[in-house]
Amino acid sequence: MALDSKINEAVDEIGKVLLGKERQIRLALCCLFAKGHLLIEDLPGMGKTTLSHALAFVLRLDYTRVQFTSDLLPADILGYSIYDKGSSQFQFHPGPVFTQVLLADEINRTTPKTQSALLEAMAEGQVTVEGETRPLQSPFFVIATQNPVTQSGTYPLPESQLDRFLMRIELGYPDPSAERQLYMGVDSKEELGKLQQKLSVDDLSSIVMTASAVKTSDALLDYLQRLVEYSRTAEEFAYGLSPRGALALLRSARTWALMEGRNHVVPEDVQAVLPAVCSHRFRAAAHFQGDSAALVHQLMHQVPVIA
Amino acid sequence: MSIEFQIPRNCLAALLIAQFAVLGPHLFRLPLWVAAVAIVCALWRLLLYTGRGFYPSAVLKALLVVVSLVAILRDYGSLFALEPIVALLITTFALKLIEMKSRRDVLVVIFLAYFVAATHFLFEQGIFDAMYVLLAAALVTGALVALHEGAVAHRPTHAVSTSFKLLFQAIPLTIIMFIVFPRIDPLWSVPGTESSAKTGPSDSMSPGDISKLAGSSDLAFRVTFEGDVPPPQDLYWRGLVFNHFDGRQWRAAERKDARINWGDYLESISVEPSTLSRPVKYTVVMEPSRQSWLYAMPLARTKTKSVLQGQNFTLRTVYPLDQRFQYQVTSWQDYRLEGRLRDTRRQQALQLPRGFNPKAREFAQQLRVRSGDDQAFVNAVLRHFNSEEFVYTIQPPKLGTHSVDEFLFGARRGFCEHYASSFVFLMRAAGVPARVVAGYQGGELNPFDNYLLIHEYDAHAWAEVWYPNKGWTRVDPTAAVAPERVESSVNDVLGDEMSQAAINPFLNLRQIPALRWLRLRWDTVNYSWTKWVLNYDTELQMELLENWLGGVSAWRIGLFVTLGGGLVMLIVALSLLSQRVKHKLHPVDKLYLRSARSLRRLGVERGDAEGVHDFAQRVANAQPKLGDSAKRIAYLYSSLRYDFQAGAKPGPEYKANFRKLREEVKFHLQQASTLQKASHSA
Repeated sequence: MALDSKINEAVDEIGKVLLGKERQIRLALCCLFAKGHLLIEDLPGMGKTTLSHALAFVLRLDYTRVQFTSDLLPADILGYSIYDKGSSQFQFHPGPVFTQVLLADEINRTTPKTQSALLEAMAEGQVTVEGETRPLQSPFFVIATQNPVTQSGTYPLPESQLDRFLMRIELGYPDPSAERQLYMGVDSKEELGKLQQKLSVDDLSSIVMTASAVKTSDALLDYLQRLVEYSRTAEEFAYGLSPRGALALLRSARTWALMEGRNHVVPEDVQAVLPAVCSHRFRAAAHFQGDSAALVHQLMHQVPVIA
Repeated sequence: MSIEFQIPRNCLAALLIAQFAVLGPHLFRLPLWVAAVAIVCALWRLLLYTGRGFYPSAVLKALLVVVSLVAILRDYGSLFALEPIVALLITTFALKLIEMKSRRDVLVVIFLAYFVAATHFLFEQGIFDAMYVLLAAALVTGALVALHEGAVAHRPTHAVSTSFKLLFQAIPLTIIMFIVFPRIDPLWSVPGTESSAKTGPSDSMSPGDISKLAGSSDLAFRVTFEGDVPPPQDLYWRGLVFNHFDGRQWRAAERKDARINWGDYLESISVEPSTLSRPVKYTVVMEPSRQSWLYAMPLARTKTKSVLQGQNFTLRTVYPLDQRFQYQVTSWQDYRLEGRLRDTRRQQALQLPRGFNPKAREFAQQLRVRSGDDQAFVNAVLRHFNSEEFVYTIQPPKLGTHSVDEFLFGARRGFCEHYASSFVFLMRAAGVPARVVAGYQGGELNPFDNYLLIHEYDAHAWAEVWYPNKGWTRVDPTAAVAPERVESSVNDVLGDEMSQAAINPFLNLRQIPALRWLRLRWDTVNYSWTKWVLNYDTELQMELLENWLGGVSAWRIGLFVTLGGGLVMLIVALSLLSQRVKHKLHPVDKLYLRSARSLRRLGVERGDAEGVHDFAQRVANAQPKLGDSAKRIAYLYSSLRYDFQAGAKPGPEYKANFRKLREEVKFHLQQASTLQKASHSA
């Protein structure tokens, strides 16, 4: 079976528990396939946890959830050593980070110290506890959530840490018909349990392999460079897209093209992932009266595809 | 969050720099304390900006204003002259800095800065001054731009570079407006500045006056001839005629009613029509001399308004010249002036003070008797100057009471005024009517623009002798002593002596070829500036417009402005377009865009930022009949432009696909036009 149809099945399967959110599901999958970490920003009760749970189920990955609070310490995530009387040795007890999918709930509620402990793990794929470096499992994904509204008593992630997330998505309210189905449907917990594995770890690695072979032509790279250039020169942007950001955009677009069943990237692919990849990497200049979503909108609608 | 207005940092910096640029040239003219006030205010402002200073209270402000008013009154004695008013303007301008709080205040200071910049033109109008003021105005505009940029983080130079760009773009339109804008005569005249000294010959002449001028290489005036430049021996620039001698000093004794109508004058001078037929026409541009006489070659007549013609055919203005002044002259080199001399005039021309120079009187009378007639007598005196050991020098010895006697029979060393004065004395003593004329002789030809430069060191004095029937005739006794003085300049004759005596050590330098070239080149520029910019008045404007437009009328000027402005815009547009043209579209893109544009009339317009597949989908939704072909085009386009790795050569199917795309686009266009026709007929 072709990869893209397998992916479509996976999308449909998750869609069973997260109704009417196909685009967000695809983006979330795209993020995982591109080996990036995902930040979901939305109000409580919008299905953030459900999505992350479903992702893990469909891929049959180990899944841990950590609720981040202000008194959470790095050791609570990474693990710690305890003296074992029987063996007269220190025994390492791995923390919740030793998993394949880690759901970091309300990541902005914890202190920067704990945040950075997690972020090392995200960037390096390994953790250092008590002087000893331990590799994490592979694949290792972090799906973090944060609540954008209640900002009191939070530690907002600085730009450098936001940058570790390949994508940031918002779920948003479901459309009325989807919501109606939600009201009529059965318990989502039950539904989650019924989800079937649609993609294996092997599938995952072959998707990663195939995605890296997706072609990017000169014309497409020209378009990408026009986007980057615009973000760096337009007055509304406080600063432009970094080379890392541009690479993230290209990587995501490749994966998206693959998911669309194409062996080459077209500008539509870039545009599809652009808001998710870039909106958390932009900040508006002081005089610009809009947020980063408005910046992304402007970027997408001002830069010509053919030039 | 504070809502109080904060002067943007860039604006404040630009404003302070602009302020000093604007004040710079004024500060040299004004008392030192004005500069001190400006600096203290700027520092105070900086303290305010860093939050360490305090805004002055109303009482303090009032006190500062009163103190500066008193200081100005103390320095100038009055407020109603140019300098004290400018001093007041500048002091208040500086004080306004520390009062600046709101956006409105900043605007006031900026507009004041423009005004202060313009006041520099009240003192100087040179080409460098214009450039400097333009630069200062650009800096002020920079402050204005920075104010409007607000708190947006820009590089500090951004506002100023924007302002320079604006200024640069405004230049063509400025030139057009300069040419066509109506010249309005000033409603009031600017009171003269006090500090400037008078230059050129004064209204009296004592021994040593002219030789003093010989040390100065300042420019006196420039002359442009309509035809060829006359030979040096004809270049006698008459300025003043001295009739009255008091034993030491020659005075003009000019009558008050100096304006004589040319028509009235023709009676008293028998000018033969044939000699009037070969006039020399020229334009003189006087440097500000702070005196009212003008210079022209003999028998001058002018049509320039505000120039008065004296009885002795000298020209003058009503007020002393505080600015460069331009006038046109027609001169007749061959003339006969006052063939018959009226008695009052004869008495004037024979006047001598009693009791001076007895030896000279005797000598003159004896020589007159020996000579026989006036003409021979003049020649005999000139021969006397030539044959005896008379020396032409810039450093004559001081003379006592009987100055003519001492000069003729003692020292025998003198400059032109000594020769002219003694010569006229001898003439009068022998009963021959004569007078002293002061002015300039010769001039330096600027080969680049063919005009003459007359410097202060060209100042000269000579004599005019009256012969019966022949009238007034020029006699230059200096020529008898030092003939080379008339052919070349005083530099060439006395240059060495002058540099040795350190009267003007730089005079000799002026003749070094490279320096001379530079000096004359620069003077050409300066002269054109004066002629075409400073003296561009209604007359010149009308003449210019008449020549260019073939007539001066509202619609012609309107058309000129519109076309001129349009031309500027066209050039700007073309330069912008050429930047776009540089980037060539890929042939596939061209083909594709053609197909996409064809749908515009059908109500489907592609946005620049829309991908080809998205657009095809939209077309399929809006115009289902075109959907398939649009999708095929999108597919082909995609395969031609996106379906290969960057840097890789296109595969063998590329050409075939391109052909396919071309056919598809053709087909698509046909379909689109058919659809369009169908929708029209329906």
